[in-house]
Amino acid sequence: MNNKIKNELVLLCAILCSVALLVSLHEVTKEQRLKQEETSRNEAILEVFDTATSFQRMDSVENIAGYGEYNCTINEVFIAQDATGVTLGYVLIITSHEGYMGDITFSLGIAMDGTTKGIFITSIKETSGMGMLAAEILQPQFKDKLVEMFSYTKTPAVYDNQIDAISGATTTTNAVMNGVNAGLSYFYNELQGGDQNE
Amino acid sequence: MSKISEKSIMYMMLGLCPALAISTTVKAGLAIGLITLIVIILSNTVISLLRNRIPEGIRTAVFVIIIATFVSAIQILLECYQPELKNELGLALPLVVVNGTVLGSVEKSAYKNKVIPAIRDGFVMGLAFLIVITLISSIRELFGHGSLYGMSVLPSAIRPIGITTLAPGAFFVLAILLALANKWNSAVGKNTNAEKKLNVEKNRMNEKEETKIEEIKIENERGAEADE
Amino acid sequence: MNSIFLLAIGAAFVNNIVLTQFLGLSSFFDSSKRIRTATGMGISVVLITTIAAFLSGLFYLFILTPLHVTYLNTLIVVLVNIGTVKAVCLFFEKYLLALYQKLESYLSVITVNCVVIGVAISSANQSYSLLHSTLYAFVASIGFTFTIIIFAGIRKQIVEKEVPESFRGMPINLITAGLMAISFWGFSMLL
Repeated sequence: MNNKIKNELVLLCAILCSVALLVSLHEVTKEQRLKQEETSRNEAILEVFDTATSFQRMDSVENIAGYGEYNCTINEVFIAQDATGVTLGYVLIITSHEGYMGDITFSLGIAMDGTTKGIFITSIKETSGMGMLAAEILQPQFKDKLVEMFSYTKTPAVYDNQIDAISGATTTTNAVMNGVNAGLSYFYNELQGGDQNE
Repeated sequence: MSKISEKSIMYMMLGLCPALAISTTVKAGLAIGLITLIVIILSNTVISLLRNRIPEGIRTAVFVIIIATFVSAIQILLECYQPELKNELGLALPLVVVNGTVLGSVEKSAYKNKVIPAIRDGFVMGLAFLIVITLISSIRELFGHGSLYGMSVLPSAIRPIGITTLAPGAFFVLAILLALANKWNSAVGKNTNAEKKLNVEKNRMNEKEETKIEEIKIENERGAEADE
Repeated sequence: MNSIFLLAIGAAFVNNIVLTQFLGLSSFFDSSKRIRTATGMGISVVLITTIAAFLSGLFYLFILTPLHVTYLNTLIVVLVNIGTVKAVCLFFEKYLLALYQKLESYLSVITVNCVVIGVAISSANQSYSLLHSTLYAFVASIGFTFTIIIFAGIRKQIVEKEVPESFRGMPINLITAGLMAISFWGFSMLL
């Protein structure tokens, strides 16, 4: 009996030590982590809208789910402005929940005239060698295209609004594409109104 | 020239389990190998220092807690300084906790030895793991993408064999490496067997010679006696 | 209903735990020498994985997340797993002795099995709801069982003498697994 209790105590002690260590490590590195998150976020935004000099976060937009019947969440919207304060367009941070292995998060840059300037995937966990090629194969296809809605095709794309699907990873392709379409839909319905300019 | 012992192969197999999934690029393979090496060394140190305090009955649980602490610590640090790497490693990182090589090293070495030997053993096993996983990753990246660590090595005219990067590829690459190891073992084994045979022959010949010399001596003596 | 079916197909076949995600390889090769061994291992894995995933999910969603300490998940998952195995063993020993005797050896090995840990952690990573993660664990482990039994069946058919010497034992098993992986990969076209 004594032995058993001793064992339990040792275990408890070990667990507590471990938790204490990890929690303190987490606290100590807090600042660095926040810095890192900000850098990643800034990078994602700049990648899709390199002509803008400042980005203003729209506080009215906070995780809008399921916009336009797409299974995506629009996390944030930034107004992209140039040095003189003229609005050049918007950057949307979108998370698509239709990924094969979970969520895919990316930034989407849209110019005022509706041109999709590009996307930059920040978080993706698809199948290695297939869906994970999204950055290589899908990202370039969304660069500088004036399209209202994209669709994908398994045969080589002919029209401007067609995206070449990643072979063997149509679910991933579809997820990213729907995220972009959700963003575009939001842009045309909510953002282009003009009265959203701050 | 020595055999690659069966036991080490077994430990390697146990350890490869979680890491195989991301061994598609040299960068990922090298990273997970290095992390495993670090975790082995750290865990071996701590467990060896505490080995007299850890009751036998709950030792697996305690080992796992200690290893998990180090792995979680590395997770936290990576998230701060190298989040892309952490994303790339994905599930393989937390699975280092149940990596057979780590557990094997801790169980066989750290729990029973003093600190320095434990660290040395851990280093050896970790290094072996690092080499194997990097080797597998290099083969897979070379044949799958034609590159090594992101740098194109093969001329673009040679089309990569896509399947190497996919799941089945890992199995095939591993199978071939193991077959090569077996071949090495049997080649070395043949040498040692041949040597053994030679030795046995030599011994027999020596014995025969000795008995002959004995007989000649005895005859000489008898002859000498007879002469007298 | 539709999505649950898709989830089931996905978890069991397309993203097969062993052949695609590479989890549980050591148990996979150890337990597939005979079909009976494979079945025993499979049942134990299903049992432990589902329960452990459920409990880990509880911890993750209701304790770790509200306290913003999700980085403790790795530690918690492993501990929950050990606890689950111990609890299940005790329970069987008391009430289902016959079953316990059959599964005892498998259960002890599962304490540090990649499948259980992997499933629990990936559920947390992908923010599955409690029901979703438990279901995922159940179906993924069924997939594991299915795979391991098939593999055992195939292994029986391999005639050792016809295999080149260097490939005997582990290598030919790995190649078999690889071929199985290719055929399972074909399932991805289902989705």
